[in-house]
Amino acid sequence: MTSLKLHKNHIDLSKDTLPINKVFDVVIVGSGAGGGIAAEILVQSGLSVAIVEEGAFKTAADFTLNEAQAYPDLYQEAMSRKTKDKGITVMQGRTVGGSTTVNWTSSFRTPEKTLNHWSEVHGVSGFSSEELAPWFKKVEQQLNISPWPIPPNENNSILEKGAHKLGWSAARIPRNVRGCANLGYCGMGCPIDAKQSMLVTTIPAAVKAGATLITNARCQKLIYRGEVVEHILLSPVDKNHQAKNSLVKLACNYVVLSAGAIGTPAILMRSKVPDPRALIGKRTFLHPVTSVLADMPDKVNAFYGAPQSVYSDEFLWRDGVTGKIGYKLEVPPIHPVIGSSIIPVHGEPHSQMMKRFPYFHASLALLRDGFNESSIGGQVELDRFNEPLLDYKANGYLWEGVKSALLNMAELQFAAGAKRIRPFHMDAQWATTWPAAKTMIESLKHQVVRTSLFSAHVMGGCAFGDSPDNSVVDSTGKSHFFNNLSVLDGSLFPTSLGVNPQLTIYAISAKLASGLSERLK
Amino acid sequence: MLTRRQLMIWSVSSLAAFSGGTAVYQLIQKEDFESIETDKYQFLTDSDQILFLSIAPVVLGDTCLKLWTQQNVSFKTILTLIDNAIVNFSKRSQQEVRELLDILWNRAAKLLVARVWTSWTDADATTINNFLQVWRESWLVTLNQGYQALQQLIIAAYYSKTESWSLCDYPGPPIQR
Repeated sequence: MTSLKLHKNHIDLSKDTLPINKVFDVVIVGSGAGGGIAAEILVQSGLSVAIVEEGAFKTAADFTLNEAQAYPDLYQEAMSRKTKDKGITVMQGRTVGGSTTVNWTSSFRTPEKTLNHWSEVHGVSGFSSEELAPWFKKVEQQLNISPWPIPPNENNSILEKGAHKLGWSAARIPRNVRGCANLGYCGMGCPIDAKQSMLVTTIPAAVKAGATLITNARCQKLIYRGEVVEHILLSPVDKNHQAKNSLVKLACNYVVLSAGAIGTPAILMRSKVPDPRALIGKRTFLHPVTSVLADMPDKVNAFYGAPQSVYSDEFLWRDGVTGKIGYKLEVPPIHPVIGSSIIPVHGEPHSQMMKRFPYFHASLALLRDGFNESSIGGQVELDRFNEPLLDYKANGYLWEGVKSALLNMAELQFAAGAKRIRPFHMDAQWATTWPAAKTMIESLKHQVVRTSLFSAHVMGGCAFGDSPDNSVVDSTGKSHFFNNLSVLDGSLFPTSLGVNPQLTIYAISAKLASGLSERLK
Repeated sequence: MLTRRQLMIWSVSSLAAFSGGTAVYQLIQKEDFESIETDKYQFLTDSDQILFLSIAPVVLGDTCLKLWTQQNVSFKTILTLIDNAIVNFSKRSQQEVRELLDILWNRAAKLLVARVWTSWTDADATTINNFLQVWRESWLVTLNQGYQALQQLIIAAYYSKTESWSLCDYPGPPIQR
């Protein structure tokens, strides 16, 4: 892997220059789940491909498993990215492999209910469970996705134990790993290349097959004439991950945007692409995450072991597809920097809590946004620096789900033996019994910033569908406006999913990229 | 004529020396205030340094401070860690942090918004804690956001340091590089 950095097809734009007068058949912007899959498929069909990545080329040898280094190196805005009102912390990768390099490896197929909803309500065609099944199978084989066969770590076991005690569903999570050593540091980059991210699979394969990888390069805008994109403009990115003022031109015959559900709409908006129905960047979904901390009697050591290996879908469809917001229960790994900074107290009360750090378990609920008319998601905007900003406003519909999920998680944690629990909310206190926790949680008033919300799943903003009235691209991923531009990433989704999104992005991108390669040959 | 920096240092060495036993200043090394380093940091200005050296001991608390003393970690390390974090933020976030810090150094805002009546260097721990609590508990979301920004910057910086991990009994990564 290390040698790939020195490969003649790797251009680090912070210090190298682009080849003069080269016109690529396809430029793919973004090397994450969508771009990575697309790159390999398109280059194998004989097309000349360039992959543009805003982040640096970091590999296993660079991954020190130290948060202080990992977050600035591998995450957007050093993991400080938040929604406009600071209500939701948004964790997104920014490195070769995108978020696949830093995700926690959970690999679920898209729920059939979600795909049916897309077809029935959003006019997406060609993506029934049956139509996607071969693509899921292909990617699952390629990335070695299968349920985790090793006993879950204690953090995940608590979720499983609590669910079983209460008679709730719980199952093991399929993971994209090969030779995983159960270390627990997936979020800081896999140090042994066990995680089958784009960093170690499709990107090296594409580069070896002739694709050019351009790193430390931010796509600023598309330059187009009429309905044809003629070239794109890139800015080099400096050591502090800031785009420099200079612009360089990259010419191509076709553009694939795979910059993620914040980055892709931002490129279209910076380019002032015609958007008569004002759809670009709208309906951006997050799976907002609410969480409860539990202090367990025995050490949990939630920093070690596969971060996510157990889930419960007991409440995912609790009121049908389009009723009250449903949620998936999982757990997060807990490391000191992120674990300490999300406890919303200071001084001695904070350090006294931190003394119990190895005994902490946390449950989380991913709220399935976008299925109800009260759940319209966020809007990507450009700030005064022309950089993207997500305006996502929590409302009563979401807060109802947050309260319900907090209650379920607290009950589960006591069922699993917690000594005390505390929701991530500025007004929450420790509760030592389930009845006391119930009373406390029911009294909490939910509002922005006071209720801690997180997201690692940004979706939507360039929805696909058959009609230009409600979608930015068609069901093949091709722009309704441009003749030579497609979107292949999570921004295609008309709603959130109800599951961690990587496998859905892989499968949909594989299907669409295969179709694209046929059209471009 | 005294420069602004000299004035700030004068303020520390004169006023703080006569303040009561609970001055935050006394919780940390006197030389931290006296050796403010212009141009050492990419983002933090002289006044930012004084602000963080005043506020951070209260955000962290005695247990955290004592551990660094025992581990021979200079308290000023917190400034390097905070500076390193901020320079990787988006330009917009950097500007927001700049506005927050400038407000806290603005005399009128300090009185009206932060309710801190003395200079930051002379403010005792109780005063600073009250300021943090007021911002935390305020019905104004803007003040809650300000509290969150200061609290997260300082706490994250502290726990990013290997020498802090014994406080939370974290053994560190299983692979050392």
